Amino acid sequence: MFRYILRRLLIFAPLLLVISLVSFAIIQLPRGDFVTRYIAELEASGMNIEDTEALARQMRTTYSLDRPVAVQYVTWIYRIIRFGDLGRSFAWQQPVRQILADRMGISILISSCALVFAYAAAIPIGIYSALHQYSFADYLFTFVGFIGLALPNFLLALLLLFIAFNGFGVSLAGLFSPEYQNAPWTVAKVWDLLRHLWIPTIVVGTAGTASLIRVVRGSLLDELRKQYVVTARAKGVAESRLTWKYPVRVAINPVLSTIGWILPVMISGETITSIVLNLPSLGPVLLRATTGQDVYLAAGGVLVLSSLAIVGSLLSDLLIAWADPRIRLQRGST
Amino acid sequence: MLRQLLVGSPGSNPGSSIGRRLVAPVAVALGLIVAVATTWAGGQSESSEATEASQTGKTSQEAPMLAKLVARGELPPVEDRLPRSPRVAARISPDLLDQKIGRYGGTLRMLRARPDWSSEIFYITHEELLHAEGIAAENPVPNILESFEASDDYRQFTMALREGMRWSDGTAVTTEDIRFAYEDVALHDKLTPSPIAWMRDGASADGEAMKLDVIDDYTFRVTFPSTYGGFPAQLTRIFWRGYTDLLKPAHYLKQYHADYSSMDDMQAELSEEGMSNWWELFLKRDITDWDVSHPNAIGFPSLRPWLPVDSSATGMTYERNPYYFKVDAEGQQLPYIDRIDNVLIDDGEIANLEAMAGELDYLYNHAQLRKYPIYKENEQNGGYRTRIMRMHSNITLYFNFTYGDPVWRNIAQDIRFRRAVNHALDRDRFIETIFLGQVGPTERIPSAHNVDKANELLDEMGLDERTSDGWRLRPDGKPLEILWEADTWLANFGEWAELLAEDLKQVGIRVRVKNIESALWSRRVADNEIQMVVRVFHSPVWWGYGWDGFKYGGPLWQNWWTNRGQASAESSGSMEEPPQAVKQLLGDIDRLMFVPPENREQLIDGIWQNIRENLWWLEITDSRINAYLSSNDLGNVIDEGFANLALFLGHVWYFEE
Repeated sequence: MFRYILRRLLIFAPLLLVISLVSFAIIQLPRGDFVTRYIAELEASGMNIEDTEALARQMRTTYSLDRPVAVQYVTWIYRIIRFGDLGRSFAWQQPVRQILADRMGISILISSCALVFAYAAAIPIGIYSALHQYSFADYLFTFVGFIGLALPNFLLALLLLFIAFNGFGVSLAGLFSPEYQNAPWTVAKVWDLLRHLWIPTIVVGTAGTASLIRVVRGSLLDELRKQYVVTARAKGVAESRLTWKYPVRVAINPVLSTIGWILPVMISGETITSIVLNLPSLGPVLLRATTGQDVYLAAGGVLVLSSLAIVGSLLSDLLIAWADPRIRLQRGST
Repeated sequence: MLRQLLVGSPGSNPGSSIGRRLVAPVAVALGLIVAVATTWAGGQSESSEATEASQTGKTSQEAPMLAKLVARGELPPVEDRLPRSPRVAARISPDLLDQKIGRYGGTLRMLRARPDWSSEIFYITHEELLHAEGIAAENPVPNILESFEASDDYRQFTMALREGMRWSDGTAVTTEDIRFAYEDVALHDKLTPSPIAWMRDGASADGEAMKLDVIDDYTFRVTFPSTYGGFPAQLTRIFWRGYTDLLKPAHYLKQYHADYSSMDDMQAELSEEGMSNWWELFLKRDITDWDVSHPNAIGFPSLRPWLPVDSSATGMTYERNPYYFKVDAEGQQLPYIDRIDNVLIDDGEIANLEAMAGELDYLYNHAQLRKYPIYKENEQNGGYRTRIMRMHSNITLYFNFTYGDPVWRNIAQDIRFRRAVNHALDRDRFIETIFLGQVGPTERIPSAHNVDKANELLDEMGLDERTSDGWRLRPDGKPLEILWEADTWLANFGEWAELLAEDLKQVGIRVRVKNIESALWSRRVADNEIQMVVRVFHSPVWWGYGWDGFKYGGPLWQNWWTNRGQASAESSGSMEEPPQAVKQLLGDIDRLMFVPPENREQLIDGIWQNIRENLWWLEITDSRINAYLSSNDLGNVIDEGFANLALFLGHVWYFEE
């Protein structure tokens, strides 16, 4: 067991190095760099720059982009290893670590709200549908569920924005109203946050809800047909106790074990929703960093997300190994 | 005798300024300039300047927000913060704005589309040494400067700063700031590797550098070896230039300059930035005009109406500059508005939604004409007004004369081809479709729509063979097909190209329109890989906004001209000598910058004649229009004039009760 963990940990470092190299290289692939994109955008907003070459040269000097790419990469990696410094974003002029930390909180908030929403909505509905199979309500939930599955997140986001705007004349984009955007935390700001948070919660949660309903309904139906339920019913156990005591608990099990793969789905769902809804979360920042060739931010973001994924898969492997002696023994004996 | 080209508003302090001594000839001098100059709109005279001169001697007042700080002793009283002769703003022709005295306070909510750049902030905080209202940079008047005089031969320019004017950190602005900016930065080969052309003889990078003489703490003089009639214009908003080329906060920047500071003092910051050379750090710390909306600008001493105070994931916050040098007609220190919330919104559609829900006070760059009906529909709910204003540019079509395909080059360089296409363009239809008929066709070149004439010209130049589908064949037997790549920064480019391509198809020229991403497109333009371009165009004779030369119409010619045919390690890509008429045009446009003002008109006539005869590019419309939104509560917002002028008046905007 110990050797197994050690070996996994040994792979960890070179794997990250390869990921950093690949992500750094991919961002350099398009023609031009951050500075050419920045200047193109300046010109796009109506600026006539007299001497673009001079501006570009000055910017490259201040951003150290005038050095060869290999040197930039080595310096970057060296500072990560030596100081844990992921570099500085050109666009934000903040340390990448700080940007990621700020944004990660919002992403996690949205995703976890969405997750709670998904479970809170899906489990009761799934149970109800299974218990009343082929009833009108079951068909209705199935119908709604499939729409939820089929509807792209961003479309739902736009629809909700449209309804809020047309019905109440307010814009619910963003997480805060402009007057609270840059304000310190107060009760009013929290209230304002809650007022905006429900849209992303529903939007990100819906896709997950729909599939969860199906999972709960399916596994509960399987369970209800098993012998022990029939036996219990034959012995005269009350119907409600009969359902809740065993089949439901068993049926929820696969739901809990799939948290692992629901989470990434939700985080990637969060990205496009956040762009549409203008949320200050991680997704839009990384997207903008990649399209704008904000190298350190993009590569740093990919690096951090990849390490989370690697740690996550390591943990789940360990859990499986812990739970299943066959795997543990097989690994351990080699 | 010196010609008093421009005179500043005299201060309350008798005899202290050059301006005071020159009050008498003001009317004569201004009258003369107005007569000589071609202003972009009639009646943009200097009448408002005369009223400015009469506004003196009032006690200054200040914003309640600052009065509190003064009462607590954290800030000197307003009299000590304003220059002895503050600038009375905003100077705008009364035809355009009936300027009202505003009230202090409030937060302006505006948009930024990227974390490091906001054109709205760039415009609203823009300050320059001289101010010219018009697009042609004619009739400049002192802005940051208190006075400005040109010698008769336009070789020598004497200028004075406003005594008592202060940087936003309270340090006095003196000629040391000018000297530092010029001698220690502009002429320093590490800090300014490519020479600043406008500070040199003939406005050319290889010209002799101007000579700067500091006369006293506030007065200085620059001298050029030869006549430089456009120098006053160079100190205005030309090329969106602000004051930072010639005026930098020396007291702050000296700590990053190796001549004044030791490497040991800088070491901590250098290693924090991961830099090894002091000039890299200097360039980063020095906030130039292009950096004003950048988070780096926080804490940098400036002369602008608002200062950045905070940057976060959701945008930036700006607060009033307590040392701002302008007052209104009643002597109240400007700006009226206390704060700007510059909210970060990536997506243009969301920006529109926020504005329509009344969550933004001003929407300019992301507003779209085609949304006009929904803007109007939601005005009540959002509490804003929709305005339609003219832009300072029109729409123009370019052929790349130096494109890699030699057969295409021969065709495009044939004047008959350009004339034919010009006849083929149905400008009325274009204007009706895109601008709801609200602008006119160009008046600078002939614009009659005549398909028969177009066909006749194309047949005459040997493009009369056609395929069975009716497409014209080139002399080498291939179909005459143009790949028209439009970039996507303005969603409209593709739309415009599609519409214009229809006109070309009518006369048998096959055109394929393709949209490509902006940054890639820019790169390909520079590499001479784009065959045909549609773009917004600024007049080559409007100093104020510069123009693109043959950047689209013949990148290789442009390269040749920029490098004067001298290949160097610096010049990117290849070059090719342009024909005589192109050299003539480019030369004349450069000459505009340094001929004396009285010769400009004749030169401009020649330039337009050259363009009319050769049709180097085909202008479609005479201008553009766009919609923009401003909150009903905002006062002193203009309804007429060029759209981007509105934001330059931000310091006199105020929130009505």
